[in-house]
Amino acid sequence: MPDGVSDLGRFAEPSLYILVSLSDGPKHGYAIMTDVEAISGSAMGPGTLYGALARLEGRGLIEALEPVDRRRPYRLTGLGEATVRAQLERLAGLTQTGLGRLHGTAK
Amino acid sequence: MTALVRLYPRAWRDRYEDEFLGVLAEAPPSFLDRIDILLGAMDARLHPEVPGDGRPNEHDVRRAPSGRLGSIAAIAGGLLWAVAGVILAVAPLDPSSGNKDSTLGVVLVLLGSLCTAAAVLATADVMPRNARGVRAMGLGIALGSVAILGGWPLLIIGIFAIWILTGLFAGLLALQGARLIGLALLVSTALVVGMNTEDPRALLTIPFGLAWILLGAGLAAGLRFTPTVSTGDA
Repeated sequence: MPDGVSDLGRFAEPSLYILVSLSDGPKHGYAIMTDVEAISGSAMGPGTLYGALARLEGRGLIEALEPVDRRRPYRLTGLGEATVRAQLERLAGLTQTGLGRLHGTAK
Repeated sequence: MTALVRLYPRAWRDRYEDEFLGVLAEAPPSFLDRIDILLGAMDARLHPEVPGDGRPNEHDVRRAPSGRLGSIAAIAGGLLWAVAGVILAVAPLDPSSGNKDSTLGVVLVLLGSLCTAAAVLATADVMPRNARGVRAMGLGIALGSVAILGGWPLLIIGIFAIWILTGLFAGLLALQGARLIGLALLVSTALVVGMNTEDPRALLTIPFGLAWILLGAGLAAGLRFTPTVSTGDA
């Protein structure tokens, strides 16, 4: 199962947010920033955004499209889509297990 | 804002600068964003991950890891030389000998000199045409530094060896495209020859130190050399 972001250190979490943000279609840098803020509830700085984008692009998880003016959209690659799906399923499993245990403890 | 973006390595800027500035134009950065950009620039320098065909480009070859090592060593050496001058200038007189107590200042000069030797040795890797000659200069500066510990007359021989070899290195820098840095180092080397640990002329180490810091900053910014002089290396 592909897992291409968990070893990215401080960029692991921002990278996952970016992959999730791109999962409904291509977005440029500023659109990713605002979308990530809406998803996570906290702002992502431009330095962090581009540090993560460079890593994701270098690993073939996203690809850059032709820029329009100064806005360059990015989209998920096939590998990126498989990676974000695997990550979210793993997190969903973790969430289910955790909530199940909490409910069991509460009883 | 472009000043902050210039802290990123050249290869990163070639790929991302335009769209990055576009993002900053749409969302003017806060103070925390500016710190985030600064950290991003440091990260990009330490872990360059610019997309490409996987082969290091000429720029990367020139910069890493020797360019970084040279940069750090040159800046550290420059700082030590500059601080040494200040400490020597303000050192108290030893009543018993009537001379200044220059022990700390001399130790800093020794450490600064070893750092600049390391900077010259590391710079050899980014000057492939003259690598052997530059390494010999670096080793000579290191030996001259150690000779300072030997007291008279080795101290004088060592210190003059450092200055002569630094002057040669500075001339080579100037001839290989780093004209401003090379000339700054050359002029400051000529000045530092006049230093005296017993009077304010000790402060002449400050421009010398600043010139090394300038070289360190140049190496950090991806200083490129254009070989025009051969010292016999292939």
